[in-house]
Amino acid sequence: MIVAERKPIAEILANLRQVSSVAVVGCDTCVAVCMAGGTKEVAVLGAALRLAARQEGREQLVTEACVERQCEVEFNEPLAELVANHDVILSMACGVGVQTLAEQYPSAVVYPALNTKFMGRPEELGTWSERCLGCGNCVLDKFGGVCPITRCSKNLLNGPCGGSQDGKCEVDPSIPCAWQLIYDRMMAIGQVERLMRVEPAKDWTTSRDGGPRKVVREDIVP
Amino acid sequence: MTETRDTSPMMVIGCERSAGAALARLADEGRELPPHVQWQSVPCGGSIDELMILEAFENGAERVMVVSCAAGACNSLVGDERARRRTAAARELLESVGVSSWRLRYETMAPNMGSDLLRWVDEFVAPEESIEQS
Amino acid sequence: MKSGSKLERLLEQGSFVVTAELGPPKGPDVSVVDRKIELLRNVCDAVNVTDNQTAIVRLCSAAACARLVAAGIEPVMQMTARDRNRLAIQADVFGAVSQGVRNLLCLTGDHQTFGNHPQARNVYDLDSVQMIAMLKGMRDEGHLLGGEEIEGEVPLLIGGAANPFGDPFEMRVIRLAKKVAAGVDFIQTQCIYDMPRFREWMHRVVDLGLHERTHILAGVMPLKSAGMARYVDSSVAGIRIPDPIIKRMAGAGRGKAARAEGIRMCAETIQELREIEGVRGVHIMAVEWEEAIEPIAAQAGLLPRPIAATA
Repeated sequence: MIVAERKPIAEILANLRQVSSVAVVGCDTCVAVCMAGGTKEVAVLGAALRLAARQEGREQLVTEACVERQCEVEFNEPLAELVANHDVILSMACGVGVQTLAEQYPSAVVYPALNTKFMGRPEELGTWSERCLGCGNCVLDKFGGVCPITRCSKNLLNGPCGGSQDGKCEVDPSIPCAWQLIYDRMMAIGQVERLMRVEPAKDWTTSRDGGPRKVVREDIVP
Repeated sequence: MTETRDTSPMMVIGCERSAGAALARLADEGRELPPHVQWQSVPCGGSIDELMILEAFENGAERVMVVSCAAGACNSLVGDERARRRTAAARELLESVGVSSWRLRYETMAPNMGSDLLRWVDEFVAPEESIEQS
Repeated sequence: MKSGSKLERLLEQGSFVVTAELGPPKGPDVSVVDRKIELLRNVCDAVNVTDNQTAIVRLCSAAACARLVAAGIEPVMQMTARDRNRLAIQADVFGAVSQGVRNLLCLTGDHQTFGNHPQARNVYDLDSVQMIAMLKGMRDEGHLLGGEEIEGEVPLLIGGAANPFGDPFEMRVIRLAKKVAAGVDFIQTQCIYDMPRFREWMHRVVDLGLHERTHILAGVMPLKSAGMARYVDSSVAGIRIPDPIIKRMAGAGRGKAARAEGIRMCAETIQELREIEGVRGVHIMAVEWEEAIEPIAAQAGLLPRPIAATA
């Protein structure tokens, strides 16, 4: 899932001081699951913005709304009136949702309230960690289901580096060394000899390095 | 010695088993919270969240006190811990929108501590060192 | 001969080689490099020039190496994967060879969070194993990684690093084997303080016959004080210093006495390493203490340095 976090309030407020009306629009899919931009979080941010306006002696209309999935135009259609009646739309969706609103309502001013972080999974309640950076050419079959591109800080395909100690990455002790994980997993499934293979240089064109990407299903497009 | 009492609006959000039970005992003795203090009851500290606290300030409270059972005494085991942490998160959020952190307090108590509750309410004032910016 | 470098010739003639390290300045002042060159002249066979070590920006290795060549000293140019993509690496290889560099050490590189530009973009287009393979292709097959033919020759002795002390232990030998398979000609190890662990690693290396397919140089680093020992143990990625060594340094006192003890210990370590099967030389890393190389080499019986036979 996509994991995001609310921006610091000070940063959000910096864009809203000269604004007389703002619609806070959340999304009830990924960002609701990671408790950053769903209905509940919209209510909290709405209350915070009203309190801020009051404290600073400003008049500001703050309206709250939430859609099922902000990345799909059909779900955003009911927002048309709200968009027309507010100076700023403060989107609590991930970066995709924010951009969808901006594309869908080109004369609207759309600001993000969240920082979109990564594709990851919940490890326990309240903790999410990165698992996939979308390199476009999945090689998880070669590494026991642990991604060296995403989880190794140096994205080594022939790791580990010299800084792996006690199963931890040299960058931060809270980061497990991906290559320790890979080694342990390959041992567990009896495939460790495969790690003897020299992995050649990666073709990064399938990743974002090759430019922004698109997937088109010819069998599906109208 | 006379002290000017702060009678600006206050909200006490507390769980039934701690503050709620204490207020019931006080009522039997003919004692109650002063008129500028509103009381909001919740079944457990664990159900207290940021939104509830923010709404109290939005609706006119200038001070909010969150009360739960003491650590280890919560009937639902961790309600007090949740109340404490969520109050801390709310305090940070409030500070960032210009509501000073002293205006949100967290206390724990047992039902026989009604007098303490009344005293905390009375003593819930701005710290001496800080000069309030209006 | 793959490169004809002095280091290669010495290794081929069976000498126990000595390499040292030179850290370039944090600016363009090459007089710093010149001064260090003179401290290292005649006390070692080749000098490694570090490349933005610990992700701190310094005069680039290529330029410093050119200075060494001009001064008649054999450089080993270090290059990390952290800062350059495959285009830049290959271009820098051309540049280095054009300036007379014949030895190149391929490194992954400490993560940029360690250095003075933690906000920089990661590169790591290649890892060190892939870099070794790429250089071998450039040298032996005369083409770039992308396939095009190279105009001219790329005579290089290809080096790599090895850390016998990192985890997981089993992967350490596998990784060395991969570097050998990729074509590495010589290896310099991380500094050795834990001798039993190093012996164990070398044992496995010899078992696999890797010591005959590549030349292994054992890394050592003299300690200046107990404080330095503690710092290195706790703060430098991949190095652990056993307590007895820290205690010995602490017992030596301070200042000159401590440094003398550090030099003595380093020389003793070298003598012990010479006896281990598969060790073909030593790499002395005297960080910002190039003056120590001469007494260490002298006490370890490594002076005078042998003359390399002509290619």
